[in-house]
Amino acid sequence: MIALLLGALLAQADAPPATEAPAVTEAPVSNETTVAPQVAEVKVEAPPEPVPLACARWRSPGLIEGPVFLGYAAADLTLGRRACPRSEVGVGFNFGAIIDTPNFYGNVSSQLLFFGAWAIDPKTELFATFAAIDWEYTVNAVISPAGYFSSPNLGDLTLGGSRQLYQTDSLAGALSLRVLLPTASNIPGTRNTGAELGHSVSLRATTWLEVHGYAGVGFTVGIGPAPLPAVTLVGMIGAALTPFSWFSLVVDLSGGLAGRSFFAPTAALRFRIFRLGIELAATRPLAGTARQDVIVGARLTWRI
Amino acid sequence: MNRIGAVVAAVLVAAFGGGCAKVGCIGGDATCKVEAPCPKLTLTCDGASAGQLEVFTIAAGMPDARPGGTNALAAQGDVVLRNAFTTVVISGLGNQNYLDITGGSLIDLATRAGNTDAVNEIFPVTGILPGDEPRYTSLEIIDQRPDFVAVQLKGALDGHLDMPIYTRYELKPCDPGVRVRTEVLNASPDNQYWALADGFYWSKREPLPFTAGKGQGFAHPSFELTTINSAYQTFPFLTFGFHNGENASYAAVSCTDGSLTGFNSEVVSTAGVTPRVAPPRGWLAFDRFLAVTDGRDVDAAARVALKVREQVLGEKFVTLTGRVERAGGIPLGAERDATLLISEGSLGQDAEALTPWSQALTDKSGAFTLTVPAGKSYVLTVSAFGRTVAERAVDAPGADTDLGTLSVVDPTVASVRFEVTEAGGNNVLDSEIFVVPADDETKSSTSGSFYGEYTTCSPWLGAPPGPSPACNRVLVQQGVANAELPRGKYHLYAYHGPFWSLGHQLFTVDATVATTVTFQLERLVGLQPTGTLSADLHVHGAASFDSSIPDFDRVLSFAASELDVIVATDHDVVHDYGAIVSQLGFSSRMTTITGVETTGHVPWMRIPNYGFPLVIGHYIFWPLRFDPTQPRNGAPFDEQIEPGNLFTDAARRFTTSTGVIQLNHPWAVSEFGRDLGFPRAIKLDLRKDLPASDDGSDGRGVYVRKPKGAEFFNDAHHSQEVMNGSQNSELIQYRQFWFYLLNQGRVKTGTANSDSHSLVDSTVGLPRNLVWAGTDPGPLFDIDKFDNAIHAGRVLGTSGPIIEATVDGATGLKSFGLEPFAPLAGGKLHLKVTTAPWATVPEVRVVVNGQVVKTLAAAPLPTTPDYAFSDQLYVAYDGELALSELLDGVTGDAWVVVEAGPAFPATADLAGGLNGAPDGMPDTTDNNGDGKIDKDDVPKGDDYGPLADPPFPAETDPGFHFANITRNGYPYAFTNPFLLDRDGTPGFNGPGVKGGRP
Repeated sequence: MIALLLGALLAQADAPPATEAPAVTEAPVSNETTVAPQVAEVKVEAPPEPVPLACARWRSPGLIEGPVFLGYAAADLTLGRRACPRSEVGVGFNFGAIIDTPNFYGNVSSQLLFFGAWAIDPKTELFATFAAIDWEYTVNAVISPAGYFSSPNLGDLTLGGSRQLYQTDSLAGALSLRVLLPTASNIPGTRNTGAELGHSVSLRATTWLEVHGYAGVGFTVGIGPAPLPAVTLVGMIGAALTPFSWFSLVVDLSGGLAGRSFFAPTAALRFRIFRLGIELAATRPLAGTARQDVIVGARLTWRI
Repeated sequence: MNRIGAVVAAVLVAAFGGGCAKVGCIGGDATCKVEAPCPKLTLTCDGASAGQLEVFTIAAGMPDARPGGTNALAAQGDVVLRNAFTTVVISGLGNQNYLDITGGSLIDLATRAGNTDAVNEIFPVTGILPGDEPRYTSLEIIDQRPDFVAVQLKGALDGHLDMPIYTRYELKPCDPGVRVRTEVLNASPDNQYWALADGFYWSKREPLPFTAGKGQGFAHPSFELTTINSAYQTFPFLTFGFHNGENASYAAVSCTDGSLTGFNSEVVSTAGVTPRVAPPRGWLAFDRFLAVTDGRDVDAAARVALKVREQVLGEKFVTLTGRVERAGGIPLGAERDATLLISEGSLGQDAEALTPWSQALTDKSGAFTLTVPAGKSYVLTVSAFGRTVAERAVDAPGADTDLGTLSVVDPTVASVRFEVTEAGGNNVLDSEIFVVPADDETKSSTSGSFYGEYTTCSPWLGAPPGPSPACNRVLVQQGVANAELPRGKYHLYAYHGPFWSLGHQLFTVDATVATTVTFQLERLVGLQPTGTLSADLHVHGAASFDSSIPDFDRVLSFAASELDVIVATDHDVVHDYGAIVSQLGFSSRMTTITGVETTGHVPWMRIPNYGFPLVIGHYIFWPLRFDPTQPRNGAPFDEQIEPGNLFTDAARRFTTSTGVIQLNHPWAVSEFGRDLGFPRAIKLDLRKDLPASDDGSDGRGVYVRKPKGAEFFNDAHHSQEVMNGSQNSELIQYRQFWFYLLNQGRVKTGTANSDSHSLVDSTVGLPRNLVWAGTDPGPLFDIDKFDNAIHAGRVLGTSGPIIEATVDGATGLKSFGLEPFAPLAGGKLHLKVTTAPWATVPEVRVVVNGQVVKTLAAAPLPTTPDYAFSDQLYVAYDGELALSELLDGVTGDAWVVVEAGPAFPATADLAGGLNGAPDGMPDTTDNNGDGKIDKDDVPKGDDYGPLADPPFPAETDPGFHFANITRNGYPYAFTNPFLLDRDGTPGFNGPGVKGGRP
């Protein structure tokens, strides 16, 4: 009941402005009987509403939109971008675990993320993702670090931009480029860098359903004794079902190469409280060489 | 967009335009060179010495290339780095030893002057898994004389081609040791947690690690495979050295950092860089100096380590000298007489609060030298006979200091000369003296150890793994031995094998005197059956990686136990005692056979429904050719292959067509994750019959299958140990497995061996095999006859009792053995059991198809005073048993085994199989004494066990004296089976797990 009330409240708080019906003006009530002159009926029609473009079909500005923000590479590499620019700031937390008992291996990784985007204009967006703190806890058989939080490191930072290339009433597409800056300090003597070029598509025939896709190609390379350049590839398709302005369910299917190959579904629940967007996401590889048992993430964004 | 482009351009410039300085072979190409190790270390010497640098690969015709010392392994194909001071041997690719799967390990390190190698094996590791050691694929010799010579190895962590590892061993002209650098790169996509270090393989009874850390020294936290993480410590350097009289003392010290990190135990140590996560593209490097000296103590090596630290870290050290003087002018020089430990701290502090820095022995005059960091306060302790006898403070020496004379009063000791002769004549006897406290006060006051390491002994007359005197045992050569005994009251025993009387005296030491104790021993005529050879088929000496008893003492111990035939079965190396046998004049009456005990080290084998990799345990093979020019002296390499493959390789190396394959201690508990017996390793379920072939369901299929490329099945061994060790600790389980195989119709000869590694752990020849071989030891020994007797099961296993047993066969009287025969209708089992008066048994049992069907109480013991030390034979049983009675209720073919010994305790099978299920193997006794065997008898956290050893017998118990010389062993004997062919079909058909019963 509380949830329903809260849902109703949220729905009222930031519901999209409904098209108002013409007001009906009731005639003044009088006891006098008069005969009004017969006049011709005048029909006033509102000017036709412009057909909204795809990016305008998002149900609520505060709700996170686009592909799920959770994946298999550093910072936001190989993650699908949205095709519609927006300005926002956010904070997130990732947690991933590999428990490979037959090989006596375990790894738990966590990152505290700060991210943001700035829509310079309706077609252009600059964005950044920074893993401000990166914890890695790795177990080799029975040998492991003394404590889980014993050695936090500065994590990866990506900067990028996207430019919408086309938009119709139901389809938008953008090209994005992001670079991995050598900020991560977890490898003594080596800093990672790289870049990724991608194209994202958003199909929004209605306000409650978005089908999105992304394809990207890039590389990473180490600045240090062992550069070990590596190609990154990703293809992603997914859908966001948004029955309410305060809730969205997203399911993505992605595959590619990010160190290891992966083919994985990713699911997220998105909520909105006023202009605060919340995303709770999880992914697990179904095929490929990626070893994660699960990666989960949480995001909070504030739409500007 | 222009701004985005600028950022991208900046990144690309950063990535490719600079900051990519190479570090040795990290990210390097095929021609890369590991960086030179220890660049800050500069050691100098005179010009003549500097000119002696050399590097070469051992080839045929280089018999002197192998250093001296009992752990030396160098063989053809290995690489030698040598200067005027040091010899370093790196195993060539393909020359695997022990844990090293490809070669490339440091296997020998000796001084040129002393030429003694005490290293088993040192190799880099990144953890404790098989995949944490290198699989090298290339070896390159770098000859840059006169500056340096080096060996560089390249490869990858085993099974991880994306984790390349490179090691460079470098020797400069004046180095008293070898410089080593290892570089390892994580080119995988996953984080790795690496503890890059040198792994030092001691394997018990070998060099002891000493680390200069708080609460450390020789003491280190105990751990198991699953608790290693908690055992990691940091220390400025690691030293290690023998305690068997061989002069070799070593140090490992970082060339770049202030400390090493690792764990230490008597089995294995590691010392390396701080463990850390290596992310993808991450790499680690480890520079260290491995020093070798001719010393017998820690200080000889610590001195070099501190010198390295002085250059690398600027740490100053000082030398403390002094002299120990003992009351009565007692000689000095041995660890027993005086050993000094110096620890940072102050008097009165607990050992955990002290930081031991060095340990030293004195020379014969009592003079000692200790090397320690300058400016610290120390506590100096003196120990004798394994006990601390004096201590004093040494305050902050800022310069070299003479500490003067340390007078030591305790303990009062008597110098005893032991004389052992044959009664009724002047024949001197090689024998063994056992010194056992006769009261609790003596036991308490003489209990000692080498700083808590090895075995605690009462009295502690010498390091247990070493030469005589060791622990409380003294070897007597040509009838004479000398020893010092501390104050106390003792049982003194003189032993010359189970078929002789046991000499005994109560002896009290209460003053510093010199005295002589004489024993006269008598052969117990008629005890050992005519025509039998006393044979110990499983014996270790210093050639084994877990034994350091010198060959001289080892062979003398054979004579002391009056053995005729000994198979040298050192771990993973063939060894030949022939030269020492000749030197001691035993050639005419003793035969030693060259064999090997293969010893799996690297877990790899998988069985259905079990998650952990296994090794195949231990097997013995003989006869093999002793060839010191070959890796492992000609032994087969035994890692990562199934038994059938191992048998195939070994059989090709047999020097006769009658070679023997023996399964050792089949159900022994694994040590450090390494399985010791194949059946237990594969979790064989003894409740079920063996399948005809591998059906893939469980370990039973693995046991019976013939692996790919093999000419033998995995169960093709010829004999199996039923008795192993003087204590008989796992007799119940080995016996059970042997019975299981007999029930399966897979008949193997049961054997009884000491598996002795020293004078202390087990007495060689206790137990032993009496083999009806039809040949004599010495120059006329016919090994084929001997081996054929083993194959035929003409063996009685015994630690003393003699079982004479025959059965009426349809064609005449039959002895036990593996040849089936039809029993005579109405036939009998004729049985006589005889023992020495000091090795009596309370009962005799007849086992048919795995069940005891008859228990015969032994005859009452004579009440004659000191009967145990008389020359009277004890006849425990002499009679006949009708076969019909023994075979009642049994259908089909049957086997009969006779055994003599104490009753076994009640046992139960609580677990041990896959997923914690029972496995048909007794594993638990009534340990809490509540009259039932259940989980309450099992320690918390375990599923089953233990099988408790029997309590030590009281002094009034007939088994008391036997227990005194076997560390709580008991007399026991068993025959090999009579195989009764009763079903009319050819051969012996196993009755199955039900033993032919409903």
